Amino acid sequence: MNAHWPALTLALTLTLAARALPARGEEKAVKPARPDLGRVATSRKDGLTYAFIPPGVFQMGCVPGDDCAKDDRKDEGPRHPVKLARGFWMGRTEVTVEAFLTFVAQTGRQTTAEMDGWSPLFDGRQVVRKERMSWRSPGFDQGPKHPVVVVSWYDAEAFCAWSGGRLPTEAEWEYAARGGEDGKKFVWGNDPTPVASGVNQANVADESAKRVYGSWTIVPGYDDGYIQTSPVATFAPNGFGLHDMGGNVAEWCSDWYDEKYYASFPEMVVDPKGPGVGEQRVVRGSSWVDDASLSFASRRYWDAPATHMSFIGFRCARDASP
Amino acid sequence: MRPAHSVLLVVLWAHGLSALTPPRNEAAPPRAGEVRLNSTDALEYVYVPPGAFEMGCVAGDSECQEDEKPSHHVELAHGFWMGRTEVTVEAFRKFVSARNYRTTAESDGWSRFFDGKSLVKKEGVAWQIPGFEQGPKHPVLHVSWYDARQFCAWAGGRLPTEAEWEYAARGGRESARYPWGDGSTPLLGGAKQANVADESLKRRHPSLKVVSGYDDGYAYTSPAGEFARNDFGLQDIAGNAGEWCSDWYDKEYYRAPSGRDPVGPALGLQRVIRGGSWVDDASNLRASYRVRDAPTYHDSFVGFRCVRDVGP
Repeated sequence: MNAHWPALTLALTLTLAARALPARGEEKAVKPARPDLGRVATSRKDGLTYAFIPPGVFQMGCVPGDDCAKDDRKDEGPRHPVKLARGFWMGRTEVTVEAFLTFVAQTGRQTTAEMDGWSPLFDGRQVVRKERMSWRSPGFDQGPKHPVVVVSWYDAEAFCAWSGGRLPTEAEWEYAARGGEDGKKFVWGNDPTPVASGVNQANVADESAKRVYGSWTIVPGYDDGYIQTSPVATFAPNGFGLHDMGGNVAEWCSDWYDEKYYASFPEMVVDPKGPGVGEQRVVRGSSWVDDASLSFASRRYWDAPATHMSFIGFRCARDASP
Repeated sequence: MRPAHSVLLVVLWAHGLSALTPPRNEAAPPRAGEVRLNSTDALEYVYVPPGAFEMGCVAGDSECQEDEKPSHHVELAHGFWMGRTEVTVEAFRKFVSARNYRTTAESDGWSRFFDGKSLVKKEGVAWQIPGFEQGPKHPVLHVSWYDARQFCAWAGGRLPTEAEWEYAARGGRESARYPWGDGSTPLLGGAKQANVADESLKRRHPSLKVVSGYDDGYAYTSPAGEFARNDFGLQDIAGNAGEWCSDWYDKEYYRAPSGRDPVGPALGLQRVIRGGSWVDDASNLRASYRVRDAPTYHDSFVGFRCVRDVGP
């Protein structure tokens, strides 16, 4: 039994209670009525903390009033009910550099980027191939608590398996990102600026980034204080106690990507796991290079599983408590 | 020379400090063809002596492709130890259990399976479930370049460079069109030289193009080491499984190659595959023939063998 969890539960309950106040009189936020909601536990394997996500039903995909008609957002519809029949555990944060270091030290694994000998570097304007770029040297400074980047889907999957878990499914990810607030447009709420009650909610493309990457589209007037990645959990947790679901780094999910996947459910689908065969894996959540348009809670992104980028990382899910 | 030294040290450090331990039995240089057993993967490695050769198209080869031209002089300054055969299913199983390793195909949940006509993506196909019968001594298939590279690192080696592969494949028969000689049928002195697309395969899949009149006895893969050794003592260089090499593929690389110990381009999207497999007829078995695919690629044809700079 983890000695810390009563204290963490209390902290989370307070957080949840604070969030339960109706925001701008619209949607009611989740109430911490379930006794299991708010449970957290730390993995002895990866040293990361996981939050229990209760089973439930939610509406997945484009929310009413959001503009998903454009070509690049058509894959977010139709909105459809999804049932997650079992509770699961989700990393409260993205996997950190220090956790990844433990994994590499214990398994001797070489990452895809290290084996390739180069990685695509986003230099602020375009993507260029940079030799010897890897999670150890992503092209900017990262401390041990920053989210690991320049990792492929294969690296992410191997890390999660090693730590006793797996990658979240796309449905689990969106359910967890909504944090009990089904109808919200952005991961952090309905306002494109990631501020709630005066508190910064996410590390996205902001005024700090614009000072370095002058040509970027950013969230105007918002300054989160970080140009690239920030230490995990620098920003506020959502209703499930999860940090950085929007911003910091985008996150690999376990599903193959299929733009028409949502159209294949005539009625409620239970525990969807994505198509059986594919070429691209789902990436969810926005990152330090993205403005609000990539931070819609339903926004879908994808990449080939061997891709490694300085703005894509991951977090793990688990069926059993760590 | 201090900068070069520090680079070397960093490389050695990155490969693990075990690389610094002095090689045993290296007081006298190994003989060409010397065979040693590697206790890690339980495979035999053959010493390939340093030397020079003409890489690429041989004179008079009408099937030669653009990327095999021009032929050019390559010197390999250091001898190396090369797997006598392709990596077997049982050797790969040792690696998987030692490292708790999951292959790219297993992570993908599917692989490209040859159904007798073409490659189709089939769920559940992977190295231990290849879709046709393979014994423990058969070459492992459905492995990506990443899988191959990590196996070789575990076994104390690395993948061969494309130049090392072609040098080893020619076995000193520099100007021959095929690894076994100039005739398009893999026969030499009555001895069968390779498991290729043959009459056995044609009996299963009549529409396939095969080396007509040649029957090696195997429709699909054969146990590693069933066929004749080349002059360096290597087996299955042509046929059985295609083999991943360490180089990035560049179709124009031969136009400006490094003449000494070439390692291929620094950047690329596809890795080199050499040697042809059980599904290839003569034109794809030529010693200079180059194939390539994404490093994540896995199918019913491609496997690998490793090399070591230091003897096992």
